[in-house]
Amino acid sequence: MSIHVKLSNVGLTFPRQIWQTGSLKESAINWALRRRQRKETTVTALRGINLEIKEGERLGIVGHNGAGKSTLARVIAGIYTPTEGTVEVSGKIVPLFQIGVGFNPELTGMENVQVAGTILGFTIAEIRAKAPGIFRFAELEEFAHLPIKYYSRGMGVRLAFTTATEADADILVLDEVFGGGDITFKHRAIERMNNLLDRTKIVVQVSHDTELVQKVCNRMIWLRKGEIVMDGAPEQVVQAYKQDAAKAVGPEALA
Amino acid sequence: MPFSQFRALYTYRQLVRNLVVQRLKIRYRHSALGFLWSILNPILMIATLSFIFSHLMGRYGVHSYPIFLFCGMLPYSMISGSVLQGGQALIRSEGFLKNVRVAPVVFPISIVGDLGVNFLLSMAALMAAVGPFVGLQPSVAMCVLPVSMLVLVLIGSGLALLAALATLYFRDLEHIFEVVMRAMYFFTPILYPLYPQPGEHGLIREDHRVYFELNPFYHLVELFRQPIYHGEFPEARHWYVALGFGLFTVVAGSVLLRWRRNDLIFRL
Repeated sequence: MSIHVKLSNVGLTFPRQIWQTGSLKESAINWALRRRQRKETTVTALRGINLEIKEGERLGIVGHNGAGKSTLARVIAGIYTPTEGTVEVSGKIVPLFQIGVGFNPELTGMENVQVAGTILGFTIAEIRAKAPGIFRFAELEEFAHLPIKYYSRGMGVRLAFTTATEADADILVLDEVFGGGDITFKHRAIERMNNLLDRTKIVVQVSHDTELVQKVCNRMIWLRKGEIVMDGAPEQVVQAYKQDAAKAVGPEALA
Repeated sequence: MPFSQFRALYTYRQLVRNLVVQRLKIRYRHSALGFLWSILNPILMIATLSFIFSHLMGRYGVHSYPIFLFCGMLPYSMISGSVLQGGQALIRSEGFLKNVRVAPVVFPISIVGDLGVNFLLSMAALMAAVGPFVGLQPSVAMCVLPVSMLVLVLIGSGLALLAALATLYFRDLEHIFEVVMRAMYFFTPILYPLYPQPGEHGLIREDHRVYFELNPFYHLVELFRQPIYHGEFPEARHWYVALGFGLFTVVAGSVLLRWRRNDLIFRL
């Protein structure tokens, strides 16, 4: 079967617990006083998403803060299960959402690369074989056996970026950070990223930075309040999105 | 199906292994004494308690109090570690759970793995280093210890799963668990024998003993104490209760984890 992703009528409503985590004490008191339990407030992050991504497509997702971009990326990556609709994925999918997931400052660079490697789906033997190349590229060979708490921020990012871009996937889902933001994009790093994108069959990229997404993508969707408002060629979608943004906040905000 | 959790563990076995090794390294690094420090703690406790209570416990038929103590203390500290550290397992793994595809079961189980290795090392070290000085006798019955260890890991895993999941929904459980585990330490016959030697007076009132029998941790402790301290094979009822409790907690934990699998990520 060919590599593809298909979302049918996907909706996601999640409980709002960020400021109000549950406590047993509260539940018990409410029960004892026969008070009604606090009703859970919910947030609808996505609704009615129909999206089919085929082999060879590089899909960019743009939208304002809180439009549901990251949530959609997590649904595609299988981290969030939608509360409505279905997600069908064929192919090995790897999400790159945060630089240095699971890096532990107490452990050495080498040990961290091993954990990060198993997260990317490599076996311990595979990642051991790859490790020297990773340290060479990141120019951290002398520091491989130093706990990363002694690394500078730049060194840590370099190691995390190099490890993550070692990924071997059919489908890659990238959030903000990997689009550029945090990484000082040196020429070699861009090349490495491009290599990764070239050997990946489907790329889904989330970003604020329309310029950057435009460079990489051949298809783009624009998300607003959890719904797809436009789906098409990057230039057209970016133009419409920018016009809309200009209308909403005034032209100076775009500068 | 509770088996889905086992399958997930198998799928992510490399990650589990790495996480366990990671925890062990952090635990034992940082000092030349490394591992020694982690058995110094039980040794110090045992020495202190022995100094204070040896004479008293002798009256109730306990003749080699240090051995008697460590048979109870080590399994119990593994159990309370599973509940307390296991309870934090999912919350502390937010970075993983929200950014990579991974089965949540991996995190509490890695903690139990780390505690299990530590338990084994401490047990072996104490038996080898301290045993000869306090009159530890090797016995045939000790060959059941690997099975006792399996039961211990089973109970630890089940409790870690349940605690980790429950803490996501009720954050104040963290403090409640601490109080409960401390109370259970005294309710479990660790520092004292539940039954007297034949013909002697008991420490626990005869009509209260039945309540202690209801505590699964008592039966778990006996799976270690009878072979090590008494040199006897554990009685059948200890096996039944401890194993039954272990299976129950593991199945309950797995079922609940599966039931909440889509929702738990929103509770982190």
